[in-house]
Amino acid sequence: MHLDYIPYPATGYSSGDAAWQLTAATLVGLMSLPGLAVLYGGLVQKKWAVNTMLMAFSAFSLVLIVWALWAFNMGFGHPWIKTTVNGSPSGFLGRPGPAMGAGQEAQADIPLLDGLMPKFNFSQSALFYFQFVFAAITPLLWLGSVIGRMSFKAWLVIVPLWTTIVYSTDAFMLWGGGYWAGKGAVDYSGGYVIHLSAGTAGFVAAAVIGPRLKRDREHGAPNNLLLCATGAGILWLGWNGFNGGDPYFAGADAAAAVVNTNLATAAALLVWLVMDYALSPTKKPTLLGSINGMIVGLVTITPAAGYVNGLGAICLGVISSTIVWTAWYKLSKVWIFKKVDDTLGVVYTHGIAGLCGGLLVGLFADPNMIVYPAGTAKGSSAFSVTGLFYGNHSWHQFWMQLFAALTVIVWTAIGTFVILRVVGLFMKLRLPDAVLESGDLAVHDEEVSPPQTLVAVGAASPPAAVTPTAVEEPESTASSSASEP
Amino acid sequence: MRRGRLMKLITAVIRPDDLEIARRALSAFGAPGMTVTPLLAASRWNRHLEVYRAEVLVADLVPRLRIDVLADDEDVPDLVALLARIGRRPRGGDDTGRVWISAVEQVVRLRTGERGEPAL
Repeated sequence: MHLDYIPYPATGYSSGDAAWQLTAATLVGLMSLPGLAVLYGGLVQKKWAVNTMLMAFSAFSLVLIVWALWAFNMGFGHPWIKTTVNGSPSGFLGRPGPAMGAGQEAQADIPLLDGLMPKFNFSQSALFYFQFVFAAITPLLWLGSVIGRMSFKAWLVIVPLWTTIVYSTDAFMLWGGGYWAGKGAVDYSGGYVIHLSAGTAGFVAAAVIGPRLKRDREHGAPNNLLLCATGAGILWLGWNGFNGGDPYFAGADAAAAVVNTNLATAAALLVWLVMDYALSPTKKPTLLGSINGMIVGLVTITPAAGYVNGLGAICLGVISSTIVWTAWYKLSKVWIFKKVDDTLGVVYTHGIAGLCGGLLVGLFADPNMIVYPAGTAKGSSAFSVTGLFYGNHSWHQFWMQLFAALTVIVWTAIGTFVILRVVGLFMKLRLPDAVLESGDLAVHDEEVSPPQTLVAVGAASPPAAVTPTAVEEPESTASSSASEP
Repeated sequence: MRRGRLMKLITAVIRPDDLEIARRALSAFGAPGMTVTPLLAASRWNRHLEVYRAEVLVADLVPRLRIDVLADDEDVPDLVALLARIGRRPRGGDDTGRVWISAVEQVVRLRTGERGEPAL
């Protein structure tokens, strides 16, 4: 009976855990609004800032409604079609259903993880909201690939479908106790479910929707670097909730994850800065480059945050930043990466960085970084992950990470492609060129810095009543009203 | 209709960082006032590169300030020399601007209706 749980049940509740979970969730929410909204809003051309920010705000709202009505249970509920993996119940997708009843005040529960981890010390509402902000940030991330030409109306239709079909499945397979969780692949807080998936979805969506105007693509200068810095800073510190909240307990591993997150990020930012200094065509360090490096660090440590030690975190930041920097400058010049117009390069800073981080878990995970003590199920032991460089020198974890990554890439790519193609049968996904010429004004009747010379409707008609009489009588006026000697 | 003495409009387009020194010079000279307008200027020497997320862009329209000074004809040579001097300091090959003079048919001070030289 859920009333047993109000306000402080005798057992199974920790106000510390609950408070941290809601705080962490709010930090992650801030990464979307205003974090990503102003980072992306500042990175796009001035004529797309309003459209970009409204897409972010509307998607955040859409995902929450969908999450409450049916999608949360598809990601974290009971399996829709039950299978078994290694003798344990499993599945690929949860059974859809609302998560809005009074039962949300009962102790949180992810059915397939029962016995495999300690019981949650907070209510289902806290779990629901924490997982919502992750679900919400994912389409906001790949928004970066499609801005500058995607139809706003199509965005409103596609986001709920994408959350339902693509995100829920990825989340269930890795976090809801589904297939890859059973196989032992791990994703600490979304290197795959969120970032690899966002990079893949963005790239596929950019390809299906088509490129921006040629002119916009050739010189898409950002409109406000101060807002970029503001958004980027919110992302970094917000990530303390992103990775620090995912153990579900305000314990030692949460703190380690927060420290690792910051270590990897600092290392990755500095590596990008140095690469810009040493190897970029103009040999100068750039703010936006460093922000890219920062994001790469945050993303790459995400699948690994509580599994690696501090040295591992720095290694992840350095390795991934080097790889993504190279991809940003070199891979972007060849093959489909040159062809597809991924507006803000989400496939690099999120797709490739998330993939790198997930794979590097297979190398750098330190078995002494214990996430959970032994659970209640028979044969369960303390939960930690062992990478190639630690313990038994086995590639096992690496292969699990690789196969899980491939599953996420393939499923996300197919799901995104099909959703876009089907929606494309009913409406145009790309705005007409005439609309793209003027951007925000054409789509929303708003611009990001409205001119202060606007007047009320009707007031702008020709000033017929004004007669220029004073100007016609110079001498008399001048002599009579001159007040100065 | 009373005609004042000859008047000229002196227009200078300068680098924004030269404004301070230009204002001081004009005020020390005793110029009655000035109008400053921000604008964009293009010239052969004004091109520079900017880099955003590895994308190299050319900036060939650059921000400049336009200073307009209405002057009595006899002050014109001094004022022009003054403004011209400001842009003579070397600035790494950048175009430091132009000064030009145009004839002014009439000037009216709006507050009083005065015309010609008294309106300056």
